[in-house]
Order: sequence, then C-alpha cells, then structure tokens
Amino acid sequence: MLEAAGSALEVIFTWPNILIPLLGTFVGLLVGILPGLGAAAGIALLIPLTYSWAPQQAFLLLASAIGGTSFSGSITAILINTPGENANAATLIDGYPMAKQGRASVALSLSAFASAAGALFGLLVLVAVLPVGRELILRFSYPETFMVAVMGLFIIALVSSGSLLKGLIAGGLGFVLALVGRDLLTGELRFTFGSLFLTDGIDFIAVLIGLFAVSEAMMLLIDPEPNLETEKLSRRQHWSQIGQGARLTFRNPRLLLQSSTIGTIAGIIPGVGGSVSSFMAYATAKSSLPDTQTFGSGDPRGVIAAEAANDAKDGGALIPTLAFGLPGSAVWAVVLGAFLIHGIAPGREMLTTDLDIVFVIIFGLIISNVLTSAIGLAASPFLAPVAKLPGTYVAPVIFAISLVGAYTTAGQRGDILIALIAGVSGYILKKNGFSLIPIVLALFLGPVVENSLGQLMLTLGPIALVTRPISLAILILGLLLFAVPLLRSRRERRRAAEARREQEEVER
Amino acid sequence: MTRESGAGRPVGGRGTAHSARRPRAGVVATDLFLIVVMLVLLVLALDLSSGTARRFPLLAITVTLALLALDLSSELVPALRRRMAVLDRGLIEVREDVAETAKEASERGRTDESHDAPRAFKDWVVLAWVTALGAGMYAVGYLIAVPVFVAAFSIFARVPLKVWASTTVAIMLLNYFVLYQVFNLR
Repeated sequence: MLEAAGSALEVIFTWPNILIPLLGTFVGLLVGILPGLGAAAGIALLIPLTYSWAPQQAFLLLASAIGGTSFSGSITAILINTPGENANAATLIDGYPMAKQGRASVALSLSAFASAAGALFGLLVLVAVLPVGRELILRFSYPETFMVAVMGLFIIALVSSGSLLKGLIAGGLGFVLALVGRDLLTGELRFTFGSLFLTDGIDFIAVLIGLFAVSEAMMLLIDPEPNLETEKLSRRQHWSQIGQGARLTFRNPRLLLQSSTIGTIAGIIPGVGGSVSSFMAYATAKSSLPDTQTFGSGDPRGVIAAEAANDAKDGGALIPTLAFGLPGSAVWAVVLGAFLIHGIAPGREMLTTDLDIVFVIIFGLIISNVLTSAIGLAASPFLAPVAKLPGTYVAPVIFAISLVGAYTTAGQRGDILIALIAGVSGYILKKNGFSLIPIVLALFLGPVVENSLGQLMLTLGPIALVTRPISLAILILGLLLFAVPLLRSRRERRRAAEARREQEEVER
Repeated sequence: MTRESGAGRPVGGRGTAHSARRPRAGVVATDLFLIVVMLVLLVLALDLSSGTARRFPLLAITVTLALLALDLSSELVPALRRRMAVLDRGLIEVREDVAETAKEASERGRTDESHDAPRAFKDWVVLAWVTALGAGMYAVGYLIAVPVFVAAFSIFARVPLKVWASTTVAIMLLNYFVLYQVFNLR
C-alpha cells in the first residue's frame, strides 16, 4: 500500500504532471460556480481530453476537477443564493443570510475550512476502509436504500424553516413533481400531458436553478431589502473575518467530526447518499446542538455542518466506486466510464494491481480541495462585496446565468421553461411562507423512495426493513433526529412557562 | 430583516402577530390553487392502468392534499391558527431578533449611501422581463438573447453605464468562450 502511495506521489510531482492538479482545480472551480453545469457534466466534458493520456495523468485531472467543484459551488450559494451543485443547497440555508448580514467573508471562510477538513477526513476514512470496504458495501440493499430515503423525509421536517406544516406541504409538492415521467417499474407514463419532453421526468437541476436562483433574483427586484451591515469593509477587516471563520470552524471539532462522518457514511451508499449527505449533516447538527433557534438565520454552525459533509462524501463515494464499480454519486458514475475507457476494471484488480491509480485519485482530491479552499479565501475580499450589490446590478446577471445554466444541463430548451415556471412558483411560495428546500429534497428522494419500495416489495418484503440491522439502525436514527428537537423544544417551552409563572409570583 | 434563504419570510414579516391577523389573501389563494392542482392530478392518477404505477402517486397526492387542507383551515379558522403558531414560535422569535438588529443598524446610520433606498419593481414587470429572456433564448439562442437582455434590463433599471456595459461584455465573453467554445453548448 505504501509503495503504491509513493508511486502515486512520484507521478504527481514530476513535470509536467504537477500542472495537472492546477488545471483540474481551475476547471472544477469554473464548473462549480456555473449553476446548472453540474460536476458530472463538467467531468464528462473533460474525459475526451484524456483519451491519449496515461491513466495516472487522466485520473489526476478528473480527481482534481471533482475536488474543485465541491467548494466552489458553495461560493455562489453563499453570495447569491444560487447553489452551484445540488449538494450546496444546504450551505445556502445559513450561508446566504450570513452574507446578507455583512459576514460573507466569514461564511466563505467557514465553508473553505470546513470543506477542506471534511474532504481530508473522508479520504483518510477511505484509505482506512479500503481493505474492508467490500464487506461493508455488500450489506447495503433495497431496505437500506429505502431507509436512507425515508430518513430524508424526516430531514424535510427538520430543515424546513418556518412553519413545519408548510415545510411538509413543500415536501409533498416535491414528491408530486418527482412523479412526472415514466414509472421505472411499470413503464407507464404519469402526468406528462402527452409531452415527449416530460417523458424522462422534470429535470432536477432546472427546478433547482428556478427555485433558488430565479426566485431570488425576482425577490431582489420586487421586494428589495436594505442590508443589515452595509459598512464597507477594509481589506484588513476581510482578513479578520476570514480568521474568524477559521477559528469558528476549528472551535467546533465535534460538529466537524460528526458532519464529516455523516458525509462519508452517506457517500458510501450508492446512488443516494452523496446528494443528501449535507442535508443529513445539517439536520443532525440542528437536532443535536444546543441553541439551534438561529439555524436558518445565519448560524455559522449550519455552514460548517453542510460543507464538511458535502466534501467528506467524496471519500465515502469512492469506496463503492473503486471496490465494486457501484458509483456513490452521479459524478463517480462518469469516472466509472473513464475507468472503462482507460481499460481499468473496478474491484479486486483496482485494489491490487492498480492501487497506484487509487492513490493518484486520493492525492488529486486532497490537492484540489486544499487549492480550491486557498483560492476561495484569497478571492473572498473581491467576492464578498457581490452580496451587497444592489439588486438591479445583480438580478439580470442571475437571470441570465440561471436560464443558460438550465439549458446547459441537457441542451433542451424545455428546461428554460421549467426553470422559469419553478422560479415564479418559488417566488410565490416564498412570499407565502413556504420553505423551498424540502421541494428539492423530495424531488430527489421521490424516485429513490418509490423504486426501492417497489423492489423491496417484490424481493425481500417489508419485514426486511426491521430485520436487517443496518436498515433498523437507520430507522432508529431517523426517528431520533425527528423526535429529539421536538422533545427539546417542548421542554424549553415548559421551562419558559415555569419561569414566567415564577416571575409573576415574585411581582405579585 | 433578512430574507431567509430557501424559506420564505412570512408575509409582511410580522412575527407573533401571525395568530391575531386576518386570513392572508396570498396564502389562501396559494393553498386553493395548489388544492385544485392536486385534485386534477388525483383524478389523473386514478386513471393510471397499473396498480403499481398508481400506488405512490395516490399516496403522495392524498397526503399533500390533506396537508394543504389543514394549512388552509389554519389560515381561515382563528383557533387553529393560534395552535399552528405555537409550532412556529421558535422561528418567529428568531426573525424578530434579526429584524431588531436591522432596526438598530439603521438607527446607528450605518447604511451605505448606494443602498439607502433599493429600487422596487412591480412583480408583473419583473415577470415580463424574465419571460422575455426565456422567449428570446427560444427564438434567437442564448448567445444573442442573454447579452441583449442584460443590457436592456440594466438600461431600464437605470444602472450606471459603466456597470451595465462591463457586465454585458463579461456575460458575452463568458457565454461565447466558455459555454459556446469550450463546452460546445449549441
């Protein structure tokens, strides 16, 4: 193993290979910042460039590009409420309010440090788990996938800020949207209204862009609000905010560890975990930490939880990809394609004869994560003022980038219309107190819940949900996540009522 | 007061006055509209031929309908509204704190001169502009429609010449070199 690691380092630190992580990180940053151009699409576009390259060089480029996308997607989430990637949607819950309060540099710094720490944690776990990864992954089947998706439902209730009822309604709307298109089990078309475009369902990214970016730009123009802290910050104050972000990140080691662990474990679950990992970590933080009333209004801990998990998931997602050829997320599915193009088979061979490539990928991810965070921090004094620009400056740019981003996803003009409808609906829902995050979560989880439930009924039967230990453990964890905050708020209310009564008695 | 990302601030952001207010027309209209949409989808779902394809839609739509009905009732029935407000109290208190901070900040005169009175547009005006951008992208493609939109809207919104000209050029370059040339988006 050490020999393979040494060989990988040798490959990376030779000329001109040393430039490859820089190129990959730059591409990753660009892909992450442009909403709609997801990591998977960006990586897919890079693959043709690597046809004639040695496999080590090719995977160094792809890994560093993947590492670059995770953090950069949070830059736009924090500054303009537009997540570069769907996983960054959890970052904006607290990151964007922080930016509006004049703490954009703190939020960017939190995001940079938490994502670098999360990525390192995930990759360390990967190195430790690789020898036993096979055993772990073999235990995951339909019941576990279904349970993870159901846990996502509990998360909907937790992350829906504002009215719990409206959060659940928003989740229901997301599920209904997810039903559009061909039913994967029976092939029957549902709610397509005869449109060929809707046969494959509603594009997730187009909806995401519409709900967050287009609706926010509309809000900026229709309902502008003054910034809380609009004093111009000097360069020194920016750096002081960055230092503050770093201190806040490392002053919460438990949260960092907890979120990175959740991200890594969620990343391992093929197909589901990657996209919900940041929401899972956010919800767990919200239910396990003290004084979480500020979550959703610019609490730094919300940014740390979401970002640490988001970057830690890559280490986790690599385990099933390398060990079985089961991609942990869409982007790793694209990398799997690149493995085949370069004649590499995931599985035993990958973990024995091609172990040097595994380490090239790991080091590529580490380098790009550190590089992206450093670039993000260095650029934050220039980026942070974006959050304070007047709506009339920013909104047309957001509209333009969003609609082009929606079109970029699949090159279908219909997605422009989807983004527009989602944007207007998002604006109306927001105005009326509905949370938008549950729509996105449910839209993603809907097909997973339906398909895993269908497969479960056909194969193992519903009893498997409680007889399989991992599935049962996930169920208990989900229930705890849901119950703990409710019990806590009940206890706090009781205490407050008692305190009020005592106060009244004293006054009498 | 900050706008909550992803989640809406309650209409008017009036905090604990929520339970005492009259029904909010926007919320009632939204709930009614969504109920009608769900009913239409329910009818369509009942028409699906396969029981397997029908099961999940029926479940999701029925639950959403029930939740919408509860939300509508809580908006129309004062007693129910007060009960629901208890559930939301924690967040409303936080919002009030944030609103208070905003008030204090403005009282201290810490507002930047350029942001004193942000310009507000009517919703239909914004909607018309965005629709025009979408239609333009359909008709002439993004390479032409996007810069034209950015320039036209900025002029309409009275954005300073230097700002809109540089933004338009930057968007044009990004679209042409990155999306059109590098990523081959046609």
